[in-house]
Amino acid sequence: MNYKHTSIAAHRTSLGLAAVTLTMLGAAGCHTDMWVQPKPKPQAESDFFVDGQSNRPPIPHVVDRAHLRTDDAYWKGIRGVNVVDGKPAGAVLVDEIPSQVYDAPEYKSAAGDKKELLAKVLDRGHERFNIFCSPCHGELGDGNGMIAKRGFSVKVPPRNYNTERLRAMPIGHFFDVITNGYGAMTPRAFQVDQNDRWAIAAYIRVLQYSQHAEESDLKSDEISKIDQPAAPAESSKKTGEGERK
Amino acid sequence: MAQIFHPSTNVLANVSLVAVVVLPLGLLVGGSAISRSPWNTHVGLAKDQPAPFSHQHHAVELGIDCRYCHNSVEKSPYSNVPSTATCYTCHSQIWTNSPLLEPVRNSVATGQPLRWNQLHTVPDFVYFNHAVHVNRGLNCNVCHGPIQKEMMTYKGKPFFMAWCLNCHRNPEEYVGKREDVFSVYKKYQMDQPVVEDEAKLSDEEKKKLADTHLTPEQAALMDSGDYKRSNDEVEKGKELLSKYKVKKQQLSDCSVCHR
Ligand code: HEC
Ligand code: HEC
Ligand code: HEC
Ligand code: HEC
Ligand code: HEC
Ligand code: HEC
Repeated sequence: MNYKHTSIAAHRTSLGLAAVTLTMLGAAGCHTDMWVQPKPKPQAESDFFVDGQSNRPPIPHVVDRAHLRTDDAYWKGIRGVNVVDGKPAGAVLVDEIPSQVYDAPEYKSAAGDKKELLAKVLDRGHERFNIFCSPCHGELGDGNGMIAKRGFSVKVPPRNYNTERLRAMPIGHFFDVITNGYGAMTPRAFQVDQNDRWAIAAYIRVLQYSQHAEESDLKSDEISKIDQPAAPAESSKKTGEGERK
Repeated sequence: MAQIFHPSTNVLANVSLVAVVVLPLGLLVGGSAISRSPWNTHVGLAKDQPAPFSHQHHAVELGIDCRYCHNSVEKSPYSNVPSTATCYTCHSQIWTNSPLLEPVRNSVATGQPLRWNQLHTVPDFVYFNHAVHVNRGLNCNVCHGPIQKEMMTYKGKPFFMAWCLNCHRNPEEYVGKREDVFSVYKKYQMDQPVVEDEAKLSDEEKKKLADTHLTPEQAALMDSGDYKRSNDEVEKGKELLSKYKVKKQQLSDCSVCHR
C-alpha cells in the first residue's frame, strides 16, 4: 500500500516540477513587465510624440540662456561683427585657437604649459582629422582619400589643402567649413564636437606647413631622415609645430 | 476485495519513478539548451534592415573608422547608430543612382529617419555604458563579435547576465590599451601576417611591427571575438587594472548594472 502513496506523490512532484519549469521557461520567454519600460531611450521609437521619435529636437525659438553663444570667435570663427545699415559687417576670420578650447577637460592634464597644451590640441586634431576627414581629404590633406579614389571626385573632388588660397586662409575659415559645410561638402557640426572642430582646424594648418616645407625649415638631422620612407606624417608634423611657435 | 491495481501498474509505477528524475532533468537541460540557442539569443542572426548596409565594405574595404558613424561611442553611455546625414556626407555624391540607397535618399528628402532594427540589447532594467568600457581598452569585438567582417550585421554574443559577470569578475582577462581599440581595425585592413613569437624579436622590431601587425590576441578578436589570455598577458591586464584604478571587488555588485 505504501507503494501506491509514493507513486502518487512522485507523480505530483514531477508534475509540480514540470509546471514550475514550464512557468520559468515561460517567464524567461515573454517578459513584458520590466524588460520593456515605457521610458524614452536614445534614438528609440516613441508612440507619445507626434513624429514618432524619442529624441527631441529643441523647440523652435528657444534661447539657451545658460549657454548663450555670444562669443563669435569661439562659436563662429569670426570676430568684430558690427551691424551697419541692419546688416552684419566688418567680420574678420580668427587665426588662433580660442582660449575656450584649451579649457576643455580633455586637455586639463597639461594645464599651465602653453607649449604642451598646444601639442595636446594638435594631437587630438590629428586623431580626429584621421577619423572624420581623411576618408575624403587623405591623411596628408591632399584630397586623395579612399572615398575620393572610389569615385567621389567625379563630381566635385575634395579640396587639396595645399593651395595658395587655402594656405592664406585663417583657421577660422576651416572651422567654419567643418561647422557649416562648403559647396559639395555637407556640414559636420552634428558629427564633430565644437572643441574637436577647432583642434582639426589647427591641425590643417600643420598639414599645410608639412606639405609646403622648405629645406631651410628643417634641422640638419631631419634633412638626413628625409630620404627614408619611414612615417612621413610624424616627422613632418614636428616641423609644422616648430614653425607655429 | 478485488485488486484495485493490476500487476501491470507496477511497470507504470517504475516508469514514473524514473520519470521523476528524468523529466525535470530533461526539461532543465532542454530548457537551458533552448535558452542558449540562437532561437532565443538571436546570436549569429541578422535582421531585416531598411538598407543593406555592410560593415565589411565600409569599415574595412573603405577603411572608415567606427567613430565616423558611431561618433558617440567613446563619450556617452549610448553608442549611436548613424543618422542619414552621416550616410549623406558620402552618398550625396557617391553611388547616387544605386537602388539599394533609395531608402537613404528618401529619408533625406522627407526628414523621416531610417528605422534600423537594433540587434544588441539589454533589458530596460539593466544599465550599460559604452564610454566606460571602450575607455578601458575593450575592443568592440569582445562584445559584438567580428563586426568588421560582416556583410549584414548580426548579434555576436548572447548578452546573458552571466556573460557580463564573467568579465566583471575577471576583467584582467580582457582589458587592454585605450589606443588599441580602434587601431586594430586599421591593422586588420593592412592584412599583414600575425606576429606569433613576440619574445624572439628585438625591441626595435617590436616597435616597428606594433603599428602594422596584429598580435595573436587581436587576430583572434578580429576573427571571432574570443581569446584565452596566457599568464603573462593576464599579468599585464592586472597592471592595466591598477593603472585604470578599477575597483574589481565592486564590479559584480548588483547595483552596478541594476540601479
Ligand atoms: C565625404 C567627403 C568629405 C569629407 C569626409 C570631408 N570633406 Fe572637406 N571637402 C569635400 C569636398 C567635396 C570639398 C570641395 C567642396 C566644393 O568645392 O564644393 C571639400 C572642401 C573642404 C575645404 C576647402 C574649403 C575651401 O575654402 O575651398 C576644407 C577646408 C575642408 N573641406 C575641410 C574638411 C574637414 C576639416 C573635414 C573633416 C572634419 C572634411 N573636410 C571632411 C569633401 C569632404
Ligand atoms: C565615408 C563615405 C561613406 C559613408 C559615410 C557611407 N558610405 Fe555607403 N558606400 C560608400 C562607398 C564609397 C560605396 C561604394 C564603394 C565601391 O563599391 O566602390 C558605398 C556603398 C554602399 C552601398 C552599396 C551600394 C551598391 O549599390 O552596391 C550601400 C547599401 C551603402 N553604401 C549604404 C550606406 C549607408 C546606409 C550609410 C550610412 C549609415 C553609408 N553607406 C555611409 C561610402 C560611404
Ligand atoms: C559608414 C558608417 C558605419 C561605420 C564606419 C561603422 N558602422 Fe556600425 N553600424 C552602422 C549602421 C548604419 C548600423 C545599423 C545597421 C546594422 O545593424 O547593420 C550599424 C550597426 C552596428 C552595430 C550593431 C548595433 C545594433 O543594432 O545592435 C554594431 C555593434 C556596430 N555597428 C559596430 C561597429 C564597429 C565595431 C565599427 C568599426 C569597425 C563600425 N560599426 C563602423 C554604420 C557604421
Ligand atoms: C562591454 C561590452 C561592449 C563593448 C566593448 C562594446 N559594446 Fe556596443 N553594445 C553593448 C551592449 C550591452 C549593447 C546593448 C545596449 C542597450 O541595449 O542599450 C550595445 C549596443 C551597441 C549599439 C546599438 C546602440 C546602443 O547603444 O544600444 C551599437 C551601435 C554599438 N553597441 C556599437 C559599439 C561599438 C562601435 C563599440 C566599440 C567602440 C562597442 N559597441 C563596444 C556592449 C558592448
Ligand atoms: C569584456 C569585459 C566586460 C564585459 C563583457 C562587460 N563589462 Fe562592464 N565593465 C568592465 C570593466 C573593466 C569595467 C570597469 C570600468 C571602470 O571601473 O573604470 C566595467 C564597468 C561597468 C559598469 C560601471 C559603469 C560606471 O559608470 O561605473 C557598468 C554599469 C557595466 N560595466 C555594465 C555591464 C553590462 C550590463 C555588461 C553586459 C551586457 C557588461 N558590463 C559587460 C568590463 C566588462
Ligand atoms: C555586469 C552587470 C550585472 C550585474 C553586476 C548583475 N546583473 Fe543581473 N542582469 C544583468 C543583465 C545583462 C541581465 C539581463 C540578462 C538577459 O538579458 O537574459 C540581468 C538580469 C537579471 C535578472 C532578471 C532575470 C530574468 O530572466 O528575468 C535578475 C533577477 C538579476 N539580473 C539579478 C541580479 C542580482 C541579484 C545581482 C547581484 C548579485 C545582479 N543581477 C548583478 C546584468 C548584471
